[in-house]
Amino acid sequence: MLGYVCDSKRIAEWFHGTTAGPGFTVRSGAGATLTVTVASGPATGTFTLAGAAHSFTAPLAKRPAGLYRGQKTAHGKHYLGGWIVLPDHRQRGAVKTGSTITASPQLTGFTTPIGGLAVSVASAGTITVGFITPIGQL
Amino acid sequence: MKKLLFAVVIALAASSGASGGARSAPWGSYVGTVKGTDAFVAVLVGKRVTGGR
Repeated sequence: MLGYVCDSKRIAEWFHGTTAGPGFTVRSGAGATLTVTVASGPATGTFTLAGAAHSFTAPLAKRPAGLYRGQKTAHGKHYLGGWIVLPDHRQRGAVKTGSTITASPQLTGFTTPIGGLAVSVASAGTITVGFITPIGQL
Repeated sequence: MKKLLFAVVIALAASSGASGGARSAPWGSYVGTVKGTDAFVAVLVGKRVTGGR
């Protein structure tokens, strides 16, 4: 599984893990945890950062809603960007260098992604962005 | 007729198990909001993910 929590300002946490069942907990590089239950209906769970726990409910999404990611290495630094788009097209996104959020550019054009998506970050230039699709029943 | 209905019920039960059911997480992209914050959450469940950059 792949998880991402972002508020475009100070939170941009990535989670990677494996699961064979409907409930799992994964930890980000910064120590945040994401506890998820996905059985039927929406995914539910808790995001915990610095000891503060926040619940969430996340319905199944259909493109263009979902998760977008782009990364680039420039001037010896690795830039990793992630954007979450809701079904109503509201979004949260940020570009991180290491553990620092360096920019929060808006992702545009995701409703008609002809020719690909990209964002521009002053310190890195253009970062190509793509939609992420999960494949395969667990 | 009863045999036909029984066969349909068995087939539906089998397809439900194959698509995830209660023992495994249904694959897909889930997005939503995190209470008490301005954050959104995305959870992608599957054997692997593709796309992105």
